[in-house]
Amino acid sequence: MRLKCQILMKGPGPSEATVGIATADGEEELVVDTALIDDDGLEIGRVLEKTKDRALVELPRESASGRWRVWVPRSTLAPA
Amino acid sequence: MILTDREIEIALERRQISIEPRPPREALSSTSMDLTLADTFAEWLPRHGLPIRPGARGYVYSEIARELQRRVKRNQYTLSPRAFVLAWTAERVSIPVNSRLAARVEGKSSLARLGVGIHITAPTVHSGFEGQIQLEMFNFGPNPIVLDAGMRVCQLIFEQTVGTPEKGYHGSFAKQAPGKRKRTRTR
Repeated sequence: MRLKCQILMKGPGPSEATVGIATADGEEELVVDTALIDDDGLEIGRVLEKTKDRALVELPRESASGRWRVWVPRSTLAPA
Repeated sequence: MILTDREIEIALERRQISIEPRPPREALSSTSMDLTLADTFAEWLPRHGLPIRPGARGYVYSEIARELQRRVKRNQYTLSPRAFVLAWTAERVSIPVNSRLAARVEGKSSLARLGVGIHITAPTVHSGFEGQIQLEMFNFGPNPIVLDAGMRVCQLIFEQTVGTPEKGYHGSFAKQAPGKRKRTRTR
């Protein structure tokens, strides 16, 4: 499964990018390896739980606010 | 349970762990594998006494990083006493989520006795990790320490996990919440 994301900046690491994602309660940022990003978004594995319009996913890295798991709008997901 | 050198080699052969470029055999010890330092560093510039509040609503890491983080690429970096810098391993590490492994990145005694540490609080390399490992390097000693790209800087200790994490679980109960698995009939 892929999660839509916006690349905010390169780095900090040599193979990393800082990306922004939309969560159910606002924007979130995380630093990820660029190999996990493609045109469809960020690779995140399978959805852990879902409701009518939200999905619980585990991010590949800890977010800037310290979260690993976040609820995201289902509209921001795409099959891998 | 911690993997021994032979088990680390087996895991690499079976692609339960991937480390690129693959370290030479000499990088192994009885229960760890050494990794080396990349040539990229990221320094934090002082914010003239203004605090950073990572727990505040509206905290935006990328704004802080654009304002205060300076990335440098060089083959030698001098870490002054009481200084802190982000660095990375030269090797890309991948621990597939279904490999039933995780790792810890730890420092090396040879650097620790000089006052150099490589992580503050988060040594865990989680199941599913992929990338170059970030190091939080600091110098507690009284003397500047020159860090050379390519030097042995940390060690990975691999451990078996109990089960596969939920994000990578594709078993027959994958769609059922824990505690709600159906009983199967037996004759």
